[in-house]
Amino acid sequence: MAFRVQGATAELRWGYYLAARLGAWTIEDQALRATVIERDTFRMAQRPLVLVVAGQRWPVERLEVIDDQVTGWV
Amino acid sequence: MARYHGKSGVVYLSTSGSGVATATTSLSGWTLDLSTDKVEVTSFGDLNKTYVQGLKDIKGTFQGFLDDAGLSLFTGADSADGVNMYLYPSSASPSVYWYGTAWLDASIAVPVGGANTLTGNFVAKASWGRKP
Repeated sequence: MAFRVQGATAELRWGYYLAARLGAWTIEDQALRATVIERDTFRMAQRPLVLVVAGQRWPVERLEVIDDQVTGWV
Repeated sequence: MARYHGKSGVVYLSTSGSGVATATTSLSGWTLDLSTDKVEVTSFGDLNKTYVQGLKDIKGTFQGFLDDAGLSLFTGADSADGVNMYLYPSSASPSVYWYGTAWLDASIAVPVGGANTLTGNFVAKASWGRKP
């Protein structure tokens, strides 16, 4: 069974700081896709970033943002 | 290695066997039973009872509180092709989880003196696995 989860809201955090607020997101076999609602450009450029969903924290690798779409690897 | 408190458990659940799972709301616990069938093969002269091992009979339970945002559990219970489940012991360790497709049953309790609760149970529909 492929790993496929999704949600309506999430956050990207750099340490304690909010780097981006995300809308609809999916993780499919470790590939993250999400819509960016708002972001802090400086914090989004920092590493490591963590995807936070309802208290669950997924370390994010290879993050890329194009327009309001973010893709990455968790 | 780490040890975890149950306060941070997470359940992701789809509403059908082909659907994408989402985090369920207002659950307060889950269990997963990975017991295998055992068949006794004790024979004359054995010094103790002996068994051979059969297949895992994967099944589990969950419980929580009735929540308008968590009614997808009941949609999943109605699914004709089961649901996809991901069970996390702790949100602090997103790489550790059990997963598989399951048949889901759900029930509600509405006591006059307490909170509305939901309970449920599931059995494997297909092979289950564990990460890592």
